Amino acid sequence: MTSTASAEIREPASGRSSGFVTTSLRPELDHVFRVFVLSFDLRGTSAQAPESTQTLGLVGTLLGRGARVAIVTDASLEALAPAIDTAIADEPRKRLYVATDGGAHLFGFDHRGRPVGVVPAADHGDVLSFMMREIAQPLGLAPEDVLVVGEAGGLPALAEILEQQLALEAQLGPFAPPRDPAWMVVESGFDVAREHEIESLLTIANGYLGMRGSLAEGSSVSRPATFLAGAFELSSDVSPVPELVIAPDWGRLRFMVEGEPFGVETTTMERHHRTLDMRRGLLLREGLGTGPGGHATRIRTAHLASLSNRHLLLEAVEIAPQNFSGTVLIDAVLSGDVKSGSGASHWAGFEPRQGLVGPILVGKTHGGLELALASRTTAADPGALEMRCERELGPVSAMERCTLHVRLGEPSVLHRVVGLFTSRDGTAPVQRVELLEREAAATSFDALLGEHVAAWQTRWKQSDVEIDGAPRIERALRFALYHLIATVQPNDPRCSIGARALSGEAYRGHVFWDTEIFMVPFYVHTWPEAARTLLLYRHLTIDGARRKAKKLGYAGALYAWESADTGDETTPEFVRSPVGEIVPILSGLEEHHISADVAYAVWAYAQSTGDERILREEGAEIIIETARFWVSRGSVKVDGKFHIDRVIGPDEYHESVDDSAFTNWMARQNLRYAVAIARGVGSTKAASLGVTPEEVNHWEEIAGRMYLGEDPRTGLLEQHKGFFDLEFVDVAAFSPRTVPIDVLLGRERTRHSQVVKQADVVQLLALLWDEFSPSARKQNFLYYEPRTAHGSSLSPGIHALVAARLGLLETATRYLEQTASIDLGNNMGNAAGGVHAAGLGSLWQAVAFGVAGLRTAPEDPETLIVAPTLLPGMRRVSLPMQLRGRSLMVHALPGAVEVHVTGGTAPIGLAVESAAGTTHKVRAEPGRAYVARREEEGFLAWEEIKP
Amino acid sequence: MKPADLAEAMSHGVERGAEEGPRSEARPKRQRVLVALNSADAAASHAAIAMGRLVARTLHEPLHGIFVSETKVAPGELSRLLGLSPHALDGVVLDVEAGDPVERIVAFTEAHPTAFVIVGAENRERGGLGVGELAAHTIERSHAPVIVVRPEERVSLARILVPLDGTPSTASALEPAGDLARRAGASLDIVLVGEAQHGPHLEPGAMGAPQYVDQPHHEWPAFSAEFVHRFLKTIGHCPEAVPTRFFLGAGAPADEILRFADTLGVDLTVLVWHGLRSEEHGAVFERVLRKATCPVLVLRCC
Repeated sequence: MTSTASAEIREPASGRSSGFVTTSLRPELDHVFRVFVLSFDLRGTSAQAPESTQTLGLVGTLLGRGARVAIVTDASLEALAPAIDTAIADEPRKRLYVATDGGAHLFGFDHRGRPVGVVPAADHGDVLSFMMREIAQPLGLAPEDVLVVGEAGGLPALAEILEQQLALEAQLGPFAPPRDPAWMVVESGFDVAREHEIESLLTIANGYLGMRGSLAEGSSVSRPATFLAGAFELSSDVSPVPELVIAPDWGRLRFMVEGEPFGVETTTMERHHRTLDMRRGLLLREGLGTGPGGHATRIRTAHLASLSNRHLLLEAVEIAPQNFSGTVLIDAVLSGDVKSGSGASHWAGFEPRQGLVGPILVGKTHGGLELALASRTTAADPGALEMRCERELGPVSAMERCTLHVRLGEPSVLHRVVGLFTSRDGTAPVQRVELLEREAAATSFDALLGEHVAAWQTRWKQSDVEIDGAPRIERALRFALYHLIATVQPNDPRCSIGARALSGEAYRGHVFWDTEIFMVPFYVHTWPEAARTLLLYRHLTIDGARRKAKKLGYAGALYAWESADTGDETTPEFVRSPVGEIVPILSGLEEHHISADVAYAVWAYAQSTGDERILREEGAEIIIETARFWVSRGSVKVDGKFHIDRVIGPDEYHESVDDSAFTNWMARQNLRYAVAIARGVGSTKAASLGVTPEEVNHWEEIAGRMYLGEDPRTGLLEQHKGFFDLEFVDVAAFSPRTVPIDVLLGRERTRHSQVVKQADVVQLLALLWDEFSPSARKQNFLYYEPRTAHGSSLSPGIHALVAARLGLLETATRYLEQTASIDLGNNMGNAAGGVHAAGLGSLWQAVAFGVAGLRTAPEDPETLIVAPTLLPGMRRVSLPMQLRGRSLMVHALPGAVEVHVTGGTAPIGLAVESAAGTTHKVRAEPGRAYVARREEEGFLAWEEIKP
Repeated sequence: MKPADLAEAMSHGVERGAEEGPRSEARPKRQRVLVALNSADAAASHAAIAMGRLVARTLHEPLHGIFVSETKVAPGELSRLLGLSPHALDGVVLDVEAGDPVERIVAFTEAHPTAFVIVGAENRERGGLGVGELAAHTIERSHAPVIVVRPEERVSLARILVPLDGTPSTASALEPAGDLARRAGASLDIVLVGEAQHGPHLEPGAMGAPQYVDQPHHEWPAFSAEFVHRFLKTIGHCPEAVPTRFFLGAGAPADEILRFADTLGVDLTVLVWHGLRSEEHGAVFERVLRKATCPVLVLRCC
């Protein structure tokens, strides 16, 4: 292989600043590069010579910051390996590629730092092409992000360039964009058409609140919103429903450069990038533009919602005049001039105040929620910056107006610390926010930022999934986990997660089965405390579920299809369809499987965490009350079976159906859990709820009589009674299509066809995998998959999961890519209303439960079954997992699976299946690592290996 | 683009076709409403005048009429030549010229800022897009908005249908329609149309019907609000005050446009035309123009 990496430093991209640079760097290097292709000339020296070691050390540092580096050398791997071992640690080495023997061989490195041969495709035979194909193209990197350094100048010149790169990063401080393209989402330029969905994607949140990634200074199309998790006010619809409270806008910054506003619509922008740094939980922005008067200015900003102190919100601003010295005005605004998407103003009034350290905006909603928002803006280096700030209070706003004297080529940096408390946090939010501001004033901005970044690092350590060989999926998964981590409040059971998380107003913040079935599993295995809190929300709202059951004439608890703060049903009864029909909405009346879904989630959480306490208390009440609902919901008919009529299963194209397989199977599980709890760990709670032995026996009997819709001849489950007699419609024949299939076919034809909206029986397979035989799983998937139109974002991820478990690699890959594209692919037209939180959760499940093939053994929750199926192109999938108090790290490799027990105090069982169908088990000890190597279609017995 | 270039471009934009006379920022921009008078079809001229009067009244502008024949005729003869009643042209500012009719109409629109050209469709002549030669060639060659009206059609401006294909380029042509709706106090019915079995648009910022409709009662209102905001308000510069409704077409675009026009009883259908008859848009455009049962406003884009 011949490397083309022989060019000298690349030409700088057009449109970049020139003439006035703010650093001593060579202009073409004044850029944070993300991919490096370096010719490593060892002639006249050895791989272990000091200059080699020093340069490799710099490479290692860059790798540690997330850069992807390819080294091209005439040396052999054997000659270079000792120097790499010495200079580059195992973790960053995963991002290193080495082309040895002049490019004849290309190696990557695995999770243990061992070289792994990489075979580039025949038509991309050189190293640069490989890096472009492997990294740059899948992640949409601009050519200006790739630096190719040739051999001229040798190692000293190369070292100098690398040092300059590191110096630039240090100089940029918090404004430095991520090196690793798999950890960022970048939006360049400004597109009025896409702005709303960009705002959704770039949301920053910490579970307590979420702020859309709107432009700080606003634009004609900006729709800024800060959502307060768990706080609801009525919408302004004709039939008002609860919707998430829109808090006053805290992130608003207005810039006046020499009297002219700086913004995307008033300034001619040469560069404009917004970058979501997912690793650090930061939203970065860089704008370089020239105003009408010719003043060229570069403004960088960083925004975050602190994950270490959820009441703290931080902003940093850097202003660097490029061709003038003069005055810049910055207005840092707290504004109560906000409305919800429905047009509602949730705020009854505001009382702006002069606080001790900065202005305070105090407000009260119509529902009585009190809020206090305080702001304090300071110069990062007061000694070096001429700045004067004055406070201005308006009727519904409080503002700091800071006047800066800026000097040509010198960046001026401001810090802003905003605090927020509401009456939901306790009494006296004003006093609390003032105290917080005083405490923050005594702490450096860098320290506050550092605590936030450290909190994110902790979460990523428990969550991050690496997929070597599929960078687009890997980044989509990071995007998913970023939003899932950012949107949960792990300590407040009054908050659950709405369908669009804290990123948009669509779905009003309402909580569906999405949370328990699609998101909670991620938390169960990475953040059990958060999972528990989400389940306690269902306990806190159980009275609403009781009211709904009673209203519809049933016993027990029937959870709202759409829940807000009280647990009462908030689903409207009618909607006008886009083709003009008035359509009744039956999901609030008939989609009852949600009660079993909640019970399932409680049970699965307890099984996976070992948290028996929840089964003794809150969880027991949920499971018992929902079991009571199911008993009252159906009846035993002449066939002796228990039937549940007139429901909607997950497939909402078919309403008012009898004996939905999903509903009945899940109801049976619900009853079984109730029996187990009432007779076991939750017996005391059951007694307190008036449960008698006769009632428990009755649950058991009903579970035993449940009609399950199995066809003994084919092994198929009938999705609902009569489904097999409906018209077959070949869904694939309608692909590609620009409208949902129910719109294309019409409601009536869809209803009378076998077209399935979303995973229904397939969803059941995913949830109750061990209830079905291998042939039944496959038969049902092969039957229902071609009939499924994926009219819901909840569907493709579950299909990816099941297809991967079944070894249907191409199908699994297709659905995994579809799931990864739900928000980032920008092909839905409705990310503007927020990210699809359940889709994000299903992506994690598809990888963890599908590709990595992890699940607990049905007969022994203390044993983890590991059955990985790497999809085409994947060289390694590594993910952490919490299981019953142990921390595991699983590495699925092409020829083996490794499990490291990284935390816990007791052994945990690991199981793989052999080619003969038998099971190999091992009791894995904490602190130790194990490998099971592949043999044909199965695995050999576990071996202990060095951790 | 540098500020100076931008200013220059904007200046050119303002100057093109500007009326002579002193410049004054305070003077409101006047845009003419022009009726193309057709001696070949009295009914067509009559319909165009009726529509023209309504549009001119709506815009508070005088109505201009242009008549072009091989040899110049006296303005006083026009009513007779066109087969109109003696007072049919009262109040119309007449421009009588000799030459090629379409060429002169286009020259008029280039010389004077023209809000709309109104042309009557010839009943006897179904060639040329099915609306007659004068209307067809005016549509093809004029970059000003053209309204084609058939003699039998109702003349009203209460409800306007705006079919869109979900691309920013199409929506960028909508400003005249939005302005007309605002001034007429009309409402806009937006219908998203597209070939049902078609891949997604590749144009940046394009928006098709949502692939996933998790909960229709949330999804459709959110989607339609975003669609209207994106294409009508932001890109199409349609005034906020104009009431709008959103509909989704599910079948072949031309059939859906005609169906919605009929079902909703609209007074005017807006068609954005890329100027080509050969490609997909051209086929839809041509079919709707031929089959429409209400006046059609043709806006050129791209």
